[in-house]
Amino acid sequence: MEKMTLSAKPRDAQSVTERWMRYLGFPGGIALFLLVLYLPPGTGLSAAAQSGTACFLLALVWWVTEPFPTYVTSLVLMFLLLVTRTSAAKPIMDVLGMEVIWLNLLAFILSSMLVKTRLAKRMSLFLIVKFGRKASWALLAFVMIQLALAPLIPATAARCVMTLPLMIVVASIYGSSEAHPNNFGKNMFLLNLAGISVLSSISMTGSSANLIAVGFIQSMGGHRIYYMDWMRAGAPIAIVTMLIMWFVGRKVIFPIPQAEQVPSVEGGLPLIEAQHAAMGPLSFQEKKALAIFGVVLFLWMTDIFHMRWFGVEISAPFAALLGAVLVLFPRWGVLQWQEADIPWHLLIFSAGAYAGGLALDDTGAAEWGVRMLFGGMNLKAIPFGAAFTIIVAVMMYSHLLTTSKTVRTIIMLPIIITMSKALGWDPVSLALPAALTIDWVVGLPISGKPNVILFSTNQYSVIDNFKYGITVCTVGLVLLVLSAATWFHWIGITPSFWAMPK
Amino acid sequence: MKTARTFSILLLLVPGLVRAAEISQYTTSLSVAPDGTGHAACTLVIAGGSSETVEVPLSHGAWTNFRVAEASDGLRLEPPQANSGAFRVTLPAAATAPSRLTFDFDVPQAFVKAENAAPGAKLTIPAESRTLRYAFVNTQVTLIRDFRVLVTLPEGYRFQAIREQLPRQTKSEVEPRVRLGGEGGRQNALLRLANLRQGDDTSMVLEALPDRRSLLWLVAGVALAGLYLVGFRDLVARNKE
Repeated sequence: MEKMTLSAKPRDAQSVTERWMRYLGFPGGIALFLLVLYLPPGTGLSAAAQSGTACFLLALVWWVTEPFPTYVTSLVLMFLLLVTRTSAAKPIMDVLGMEVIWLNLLAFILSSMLVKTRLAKRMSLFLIVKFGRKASWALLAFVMIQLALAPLIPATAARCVMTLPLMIVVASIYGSSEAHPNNFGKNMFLLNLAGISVLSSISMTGSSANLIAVGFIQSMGGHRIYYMDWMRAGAPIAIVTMLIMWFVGRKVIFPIPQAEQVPSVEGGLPLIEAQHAAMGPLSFQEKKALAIFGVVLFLWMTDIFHMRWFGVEISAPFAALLGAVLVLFPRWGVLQWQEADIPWHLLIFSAGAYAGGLALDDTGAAEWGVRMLFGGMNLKAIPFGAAFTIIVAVMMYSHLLTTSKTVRTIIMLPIIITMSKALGWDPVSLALPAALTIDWVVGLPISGKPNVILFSTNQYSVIDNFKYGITVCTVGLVLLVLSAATWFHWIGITPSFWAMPK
Repeated sequence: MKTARTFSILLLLVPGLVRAAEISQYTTSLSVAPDGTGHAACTLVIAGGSSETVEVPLSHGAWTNFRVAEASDGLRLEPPQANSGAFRVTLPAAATAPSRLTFDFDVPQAFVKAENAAPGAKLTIPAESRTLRYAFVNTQVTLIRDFRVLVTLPEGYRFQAIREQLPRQTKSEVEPRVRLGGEGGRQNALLRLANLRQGDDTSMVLEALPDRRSLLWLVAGVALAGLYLVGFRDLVARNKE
């Protein structure tokens, strides 16, 4: 319980299926790479876009089947992007200096502080004592924590790193560790992953990509989306999805056996209560950690006022940087550099995923793919409800092929708005529901920053992530389609579900 | 006195009532030959007042063999001087509808070898790469509503990448500045920009290569896959199951 390290050790294949996937994944990735590389060139596609797609698909197969550790696949991808002339050396290398990589690095220093000062342990024990008598309540407590944090901290990576130490300690109390992951652990990490991502769609300030979508709807669609417009459409979908996943996850996807329903620490709950009591009042080091974390949290929560207060915006990575300076300050800080648990393998994995994603965007491959997909459908011949289902489904599942919400928004939203106009539908009727899915990036460990961070705990496989993530997206899609026929229509967002294009 | 005042007010109003001439469409289609030369065909649609003179900027700086292919009745044109960047068009005396003008010219160096490094010097891009640079500035006062340039590569060539496309796509634009496409087995690139006022510019830099794939990838890929299947067969060995 005292230990919270993010191991670089590759995860062992656990089942026969996983071993076969590893064995066949390597040649499978190469076969897909060669197939795409040697396909007759699409007229709208540059050679760099074609080779970039081939490289990304190879990496995607390898990330999913794991013949190599994921960070080695990232390094292979970065090398392939260079030698296929998809990207130049500089943009590939520059990804390691991206804001998101810095945020991850600095947030891990803050996370190490919570562990070293035992503040994480205290908070976890408190959580278990109050809510953790049963696994289901412990999981629900985390949904509530993520729900409370979502409107306060827009940076999903920050929210993830803040709660990660709690997740690891609570999972270990329920018998799930890196060496012996169990279904409680899978539910714990994947439910939190879903919570961090999906609950960002509650408000339009939940992520910067949401705001970009609102900008597109206003500038191209001619409709202003107000805070409450977004919230009354997005909040019910996100909250109901999380409640469904809380139930479905532990009952159907990863059923928690009776033995894992209660804390598995020797001595049981009384021991945990005793440990919590034995920690006594907050130590001076814990108070310092709390104060430093409070400063960072305050800066994360008040970013919209920074320009007014300080004349400069202190973005999330710089707020974390200030926190890291305070944490590492000689004598007055709480941590020495060698005590910070920085998972470099995770940063390399992220860098590779971003380099691949950016290459798809920069070469125009992603945009070309979306146009081909929508261009091949005759949406004029089908009722609104069917067009809505197709467009929202494409938007929802397209996150599996990108690594950036912003890029996906910039590519998809203008196309959806233009298509709505061409079909004679109000752009809001398709663009707003599509925008609500921007943050639902839960399908793969490369789909978003929290995904990368949580995957590094080695408590679930890529397949586990895929299974859970696809279920989350499908539940969300079904709720969105049902809402289009009812709730969205009643509040004036969508026309009649069976209306035909004019 | 009253008549003079009315007359002077009318004089002030007249320029406002007559719409300034504008080029509502300026489309250039440049077909590139394997030797790097190109043939450009331009179509202009010009709207403006009767007998109004319009300065038209040429879409290419270096050109030869300027020829008018088609012009609306009554449209008068002063062909450009050698190396000139613009020419003058006078609209018909009784212009009721926009006038149309089609002309073509040759471009001596549309498509150049990307890099001419000295023997033994380090190359920064493959020797067979070709670069297509295109830039246009509206040097004249006439507004260009819709400007498009379509560049078609010779058969057997393919765009490696769009290296530059300016100005950057704005939030209100759905289409990228340069879109790749193709027709009849030849790949093309379309550059477009709306509402070019005097001084506005647009440009693109494209890299093209002969369209052939090295078999090295196939050989290396098959060899690596084979080696892995042999070297890692213990992953699925029966005793592991």
